[in-house]
Amino acid sequence: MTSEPAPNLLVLRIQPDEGISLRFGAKVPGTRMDVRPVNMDFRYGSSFGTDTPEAYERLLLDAMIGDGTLFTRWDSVAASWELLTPVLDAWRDGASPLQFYEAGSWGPDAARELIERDGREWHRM
Amino acid sequence: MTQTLNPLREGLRLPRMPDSCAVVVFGATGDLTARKLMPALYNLSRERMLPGGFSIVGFARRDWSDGQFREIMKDAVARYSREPLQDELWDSFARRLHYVSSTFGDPAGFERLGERLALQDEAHGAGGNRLFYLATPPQSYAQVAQRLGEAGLARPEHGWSRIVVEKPYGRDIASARELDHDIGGVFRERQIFRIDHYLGKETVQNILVFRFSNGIFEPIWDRRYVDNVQVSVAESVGIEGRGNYYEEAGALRDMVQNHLMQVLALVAMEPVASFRGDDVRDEKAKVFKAITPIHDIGRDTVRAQYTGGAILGTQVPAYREEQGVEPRSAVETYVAMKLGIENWRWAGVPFTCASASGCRSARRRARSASTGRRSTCSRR
Repeated sequence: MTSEPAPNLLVLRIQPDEGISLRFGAKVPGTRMDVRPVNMDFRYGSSFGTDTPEAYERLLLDAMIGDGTLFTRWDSVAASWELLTPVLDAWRDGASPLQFYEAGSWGPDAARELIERDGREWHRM
Repeated sequence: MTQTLNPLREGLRLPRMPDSCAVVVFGATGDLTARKLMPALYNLSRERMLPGGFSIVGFARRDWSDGQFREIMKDAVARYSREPLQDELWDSFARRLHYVSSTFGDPAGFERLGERLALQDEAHGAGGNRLFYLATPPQSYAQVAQRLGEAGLARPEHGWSRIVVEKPYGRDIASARELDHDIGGVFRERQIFRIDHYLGKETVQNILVFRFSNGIFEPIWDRRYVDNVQVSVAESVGIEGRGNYYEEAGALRDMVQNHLMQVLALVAMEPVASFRGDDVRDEKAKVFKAITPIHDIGRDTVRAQYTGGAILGTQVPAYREEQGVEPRSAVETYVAMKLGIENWRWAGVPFTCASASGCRSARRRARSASTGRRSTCSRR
């Protein structure tokens, strides 16, 4: 084996094309020992059909039943705001200046630098 | 593979039929009611998930009659329901629809609502149970809660009373606290249901099932095997006429604070003892406590805005050229940030979140969570 195998990648697709896929290395058919990443793929559509209730159906029903599991409790709302309010404040004061990206591009270069700085890269959806 | 003990199955045995109740929708003439709430209630009724004594009261300023309300809602359901509208089913559903016209500030309107609900208790047998749904602009949340309290509807003597609050729940920590203080002055935490519709998505609910109902993933779901986690939302469309709303929100408030953080918590949380009551929410709260504050905001966050371009062949104007957007607006349509979770499971594993509008994507409006595993692991 000459090259470093690609890392395994698990993707949970929330919407659209709902499903889960797992990437792993497989031997490329042939006389050489070449490895290429391939995907195992689960799709809601093909496993369960497409008649999935809307999120609001489940949530309205749960609220009528009195089950708050799928609703956000105050402590997590507060914790999330406590984490992110300093970001909003710092942005207002000029930290992390506003970047621009062309509509239809993969996003601003700065976002790529953010993740590539420590040797990772965005999984492109 | 051995069958693992599965606490998530516990919840499945609970009866899923609610008590007879009345659902009161504040903001009944608005977009959310037409597009989401009414089609959802109709489909629940179609699938016989609603109790016999169920009824709905629309509450809004417009001067509509019960008849007008029913007619307009019929059009909405015909247009937005995931299943085609069936006339007979609709007719029996429509008999449960009522309407009260009032501003959200007028105490007399809430008196009328109370009388109406009492009548409906008799007619439909709702037993005094009420679910109040705030589908109003957020500026009205506190006022509606307060008026409900004054009208004696928040803590009924018979039956239960709950309030469902839509997003946004505040626009920073101070306004969120203020809102919680106002609503919490009338309703107890147990009565308050803050909606994050991501949590109602099948695929999001499945995150916990995937992790904890399968024996093979959880043992490697930690910093020894996971190199990094990405939670991304990419909308391959611009803001499409939502300029007024977006100018007040931006990507961080609109997507990250609520949806992305909730998904992140589900990916990162510890196993639950059960899927009931507060168990899941307790574990999510622990994740939030363990997230390290972002010390270097200039370094670990990115905010950006899209300029004009073509998305998959369709020409899109720049954000600043959208209707309702300031020509020099600094509102972000893209945000990315790197977070760390300081606990045994995740120390050293970066969680990178991104929410993007107007971006390219292999799939239209893609939302996903992914974990890249260490390549060393694949060689073992």
